[in-house]
Amino acid sequence: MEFRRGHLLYFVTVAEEGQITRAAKKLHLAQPALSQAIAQLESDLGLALLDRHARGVSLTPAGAVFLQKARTAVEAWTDALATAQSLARARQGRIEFGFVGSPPGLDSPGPLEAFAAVHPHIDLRYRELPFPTEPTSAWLAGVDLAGCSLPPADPEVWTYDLRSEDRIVLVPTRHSLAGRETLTVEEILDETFIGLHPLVAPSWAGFWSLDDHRGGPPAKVTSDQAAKPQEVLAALAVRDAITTVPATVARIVMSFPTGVLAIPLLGASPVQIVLAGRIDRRSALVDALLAFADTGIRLAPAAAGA
Amino acid sequence: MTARRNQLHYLVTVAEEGQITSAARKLHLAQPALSQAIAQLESELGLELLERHPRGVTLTPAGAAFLVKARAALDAETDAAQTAQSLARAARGTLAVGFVGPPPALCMPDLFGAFSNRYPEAQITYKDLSFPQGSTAAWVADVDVAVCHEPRAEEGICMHAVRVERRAVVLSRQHPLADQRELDATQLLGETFVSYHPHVQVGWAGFHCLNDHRGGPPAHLTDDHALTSLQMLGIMTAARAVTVIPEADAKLALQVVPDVISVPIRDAAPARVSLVWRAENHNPLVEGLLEVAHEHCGGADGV
Repeated sequence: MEFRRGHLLYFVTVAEEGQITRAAKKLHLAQPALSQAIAQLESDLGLALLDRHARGVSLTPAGAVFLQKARTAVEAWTDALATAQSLARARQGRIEFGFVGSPPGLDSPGPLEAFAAVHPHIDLRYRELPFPTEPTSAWLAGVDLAGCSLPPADPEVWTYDLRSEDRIVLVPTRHSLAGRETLTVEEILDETFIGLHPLVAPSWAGFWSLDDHRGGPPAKVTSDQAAKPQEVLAALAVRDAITTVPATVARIVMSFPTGVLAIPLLGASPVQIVLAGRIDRRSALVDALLAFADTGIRLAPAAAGA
Repeated sequence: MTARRNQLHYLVTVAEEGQITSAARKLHLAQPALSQAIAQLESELGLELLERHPRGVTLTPAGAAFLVKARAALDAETDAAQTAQSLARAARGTLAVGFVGPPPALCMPDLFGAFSNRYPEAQITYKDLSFPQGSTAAWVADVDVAVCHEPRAEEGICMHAVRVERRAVVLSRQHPLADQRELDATQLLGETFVSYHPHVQVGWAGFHCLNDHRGGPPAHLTDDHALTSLQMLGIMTAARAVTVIPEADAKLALQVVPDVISVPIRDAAPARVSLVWRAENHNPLVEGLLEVAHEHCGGADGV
């Protein structure tokens, strides 16, 4: 038997959202159309997958078993199509270059200009990525490589060390710490930190709230569930809370009027800045970029502090 | 990006066959239609997947990289479909029993009779399986349990022997050995054997050709490339070659093909006719059948 187009994805989305309405919104479908598609899937399979309640849907026991398989199939399809896109880019001489926080062109314009001079036929396109989710290989599925702080290790992902940077504290201008020239780790361990989205990789999220120095998460985090750097900035503007960022990000934040101050942090272990990508996306073009990094023309080291 | 399951299936088949023409035959498609579907896929993906040569096609490096993922996507979808079917059977109280050779109700009337008494509401559907090709897990995935002599052992595959019995050679009544009451394996090693399709599991084909006693395939094989037991029966009617099957199956086969005779092989390693199922099965009736098998046939290994 064959599944009708989209049905597996529809079912997985409904199961994960727990509501037809929310799933329909996420899938950009009308709610009746989605309900009908799920009913059709159940009828095709001869199997009840969902129990309908007044407040949403839940999986039947058979639906829960089927969900595991359906999810694997959806992921395999997504992976096949993303692989095709990556191969097509390699053929067209295009690299999809992901980044978190600081755009590579702002962060290190010189080396990228030099790269463009040596490889005028390679078209670099930049894609902003949300904070890493796990596994890292899934997070990187849509790009050929990314520049970012070291993401969680993954056997399907290569990394290339670029440099290490200091962590810098971002503080709202009206915060009690706003007047300080420098801060130490001990002084800020008990502060309230901006809360990140629960799907953000815990080791990544914890690094910015200094969990590595505290030995655990902060006592107080805000309810923001930020998943992207811009959401952290938006939260800082309205909260009485702080966060830390790599020095290059702090420098960029300070060049815009954001109502946020960057204060050097003393005694914190540094941030490892890397290029990272999936092993199965490593095309000749990506190798060209890495070979370029190997020539010693490293992406510019950030000035210490902001 | 609109690649469809069909398109990926076409690509996988063309890659396996190495030729559009033979792939089209296998897919029951006209050759131009298949060529066009592949070209359409290449254009949608913006990729060249195949290199065309005068004698066939080969994958480009990009095609090879994509094929791995395409195959994984197809396999995952097939697995989801088979799981859903198994769940649906469980919900309906149906047990799908696959078999190779005589139907289970004929060759194991006691076991299936006892099962029906224990589970009068349960429906059994029977499915004639071809000989196992590729992985045993994929081969039994369409049914809840298979009845056959042992296919290749694999992780995730469970087997329970319900009959351990002698192997018998099936040969023409005119054959010089046909009047013997028993034979030794060595007397048969030089015979011409019915050949199996090259995709059939090596151990399975070897079981029928006494490879385990010879230490390798027979010197003489027919060109039959058998894939199903019905095909085997057809070949036996022509009486050109011999084959070796479980003794009880041989007795049933003689009733259908009158010109052949079966002679047990005294010293051949026995046939273990078994229930075969996936550890990851979702049908409680499989557990039910096993329970009945344990009570009814006991430890067949003691036979």
